[in-house]
Amino acid sequence: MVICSSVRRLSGGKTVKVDVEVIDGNIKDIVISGDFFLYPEEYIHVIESKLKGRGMSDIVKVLKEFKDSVEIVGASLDEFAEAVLEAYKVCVSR
Amino acid sequence: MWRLIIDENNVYRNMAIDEALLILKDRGLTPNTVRLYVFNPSAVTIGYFQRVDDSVNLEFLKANNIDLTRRISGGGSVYHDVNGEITYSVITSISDISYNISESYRIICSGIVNAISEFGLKAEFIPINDVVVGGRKVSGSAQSRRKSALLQHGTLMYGTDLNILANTLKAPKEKLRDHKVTSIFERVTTISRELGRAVGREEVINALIKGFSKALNADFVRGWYTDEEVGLADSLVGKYKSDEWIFQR
Repeated sequence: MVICSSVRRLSGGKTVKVDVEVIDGNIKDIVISGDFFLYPEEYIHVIESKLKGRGMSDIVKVLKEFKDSVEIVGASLDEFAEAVLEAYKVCVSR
Repeated sequence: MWRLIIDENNVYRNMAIDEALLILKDRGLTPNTVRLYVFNPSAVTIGYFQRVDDSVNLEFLKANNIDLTRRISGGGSVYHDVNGEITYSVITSISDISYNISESYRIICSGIVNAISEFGLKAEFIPINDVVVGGRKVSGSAQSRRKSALLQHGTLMYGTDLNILANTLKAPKEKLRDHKVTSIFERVTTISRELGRAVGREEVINALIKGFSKALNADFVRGWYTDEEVGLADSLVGKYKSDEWIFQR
């Protein structure tokens, strides 16, 4: 089991860290953590759950699905997608 | 008319009370309330989205009997020093503050800025959720919302032991690089440190009462919890003590 991580500073000053496990090009497990503010908070679990089983081409699409249901103060869903992609790419380049 | 409660509990009960008041406010069963409280014994809270291993030094916490729990609110890790920090909570209808989340942080944090000005210090609100004096952080806040109610809780460090704080919390390396400094110690300060004298708990509480009264345009009436609030808080304490909640990520 290989966990790959990315850490990035969001535009509003907070930090997001993505820990991801990728098997055969698909996300097996993922945790999006950090000191950011996402509302409603519980949706982080929904986002993580929807990313599981998906490959690189789906990551941006999955996060866009939350544009009307989630608000991140000081960051955009695009920034979260970039963080997930960064961690994913670390894994598949190994 | 707002209710003012001044209180002291362990970390699990403090977080349980905050959640209970938010839930009951959302159901229209609790008045707008400001809590000013102390964590006894000293404790650490981490934000809802944080990983324990990335945010706190667990070995140091265990060796020094410092309690730990996870908040329902986002944001970063906080060291609550029993002898150097007051925590506030504002529990209110969203409609009484602002539907805009960033604006509501600014309004409520202005209570902290006002309180610090009572000591003759110039404080500044730095969005999203910080208050700084001379560029160093003295206060951080975090807000959680339900359909019609919000809870914002936050710190005011008046005499926090910064050595313990620096040993207790871990800051992400990426974040420090951006701040262009190397340690928590250089990024944070306390009211006592800025004034060059030891400030007492009562002084800080009185300043916070004045500060929030002005920020919220609120007349406070000292009060206490209802039986319903106590009952709900009692039922939530176990969650905050559980490894399942604390180590969920």
